[in-house]
Amino acid sequence: MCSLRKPTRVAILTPSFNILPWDDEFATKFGRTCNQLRAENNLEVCLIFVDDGSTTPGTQLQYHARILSRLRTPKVLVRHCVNRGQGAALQTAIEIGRSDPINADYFVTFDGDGQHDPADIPPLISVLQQRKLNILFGNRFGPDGTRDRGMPFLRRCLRWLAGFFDRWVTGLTLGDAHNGLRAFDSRTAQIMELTNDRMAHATEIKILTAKHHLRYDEIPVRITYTKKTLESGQKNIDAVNVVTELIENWWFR
Amino acid sequence: MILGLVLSAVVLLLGVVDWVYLRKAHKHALMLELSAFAAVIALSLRPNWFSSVASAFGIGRGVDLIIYPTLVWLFREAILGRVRYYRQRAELTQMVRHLALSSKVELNSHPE
Repeated sequence: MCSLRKPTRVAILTPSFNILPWDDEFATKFGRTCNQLRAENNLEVCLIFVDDGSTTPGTQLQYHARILSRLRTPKVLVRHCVNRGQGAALQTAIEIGRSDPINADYFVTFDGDGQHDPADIPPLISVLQQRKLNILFGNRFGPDGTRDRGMPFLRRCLRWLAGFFDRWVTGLTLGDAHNGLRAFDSRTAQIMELTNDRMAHATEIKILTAKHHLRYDEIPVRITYTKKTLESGQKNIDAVNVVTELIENWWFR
Repeated sequence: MILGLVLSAVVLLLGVVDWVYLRKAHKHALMLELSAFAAVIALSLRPNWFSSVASAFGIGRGVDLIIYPTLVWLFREAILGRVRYYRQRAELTQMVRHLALSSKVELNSHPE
């Protein structure tokens, strides 16, 4: 019997700023995950890639487009003409994913610098679906996480402080304050109107989770720290910037 | 008195420089600035005028008559400036997003 049910759609939101395109190995791994989601979970995957105004040579959208065009999954590529920050880039991707023609049922935020493992995407979606959660956060400090994968000591201390700050601000008890790998459903996507353009969006998402009483949880994910990902990711001083951004945004916006 | 004259000369010089740049396109702003400069020159040359006005308001020194409102005005400017900055930043993000959405590229919309 032929089913007329609309296929479940997953939008993978990937912001990128001054990051070199994925290498063949990573792109193949990502493509394999998309194929797996399609074949095993009957999910239609769409990649939404946002170049947030990259300026360094070889990192602009056209360079990413070359490797991304090899993926067999549908994709939308956009470019911010000037850098507005990761929060702004994610909001742009969310707006594309929740509107026509994509109208995704599930959303996954996935950093463009290769620190996340594409193999973590299927479990995120499965848990979100099975447990009927609104939002599921990745936790790199879980049993299968990256505790032993090269996280610098100072960053661990900052992680503890950031976790304490996040618990104080949001009231949510989560093990990983700023993990870019997370999944949420369409209801959460409709709520999502990120006003913190830069790094503080991660805390803002948790504030929205608490404010709208969303059903949430976290699962262990792997993050690989390499020289490249440490250079492109958050710096230690960004912890101060996140707090300043949140306070200033609250006061003046 | 010498200090008053030097201060008046500096303020006068600033007034002349701004008059050159602002006199055509920003007449009203120039008039506002020159009024404030005139008050500063008067204060530095004839402080006793301000002292008598200040005592009428119950403020000790003439110079405080200028300093208190100036502090309030500067603090207000700082707050309003910050609010304006955040508003313009949000507007810039909206504009950049609008431009990005209007030129998005869709690839392989029908996968095999």
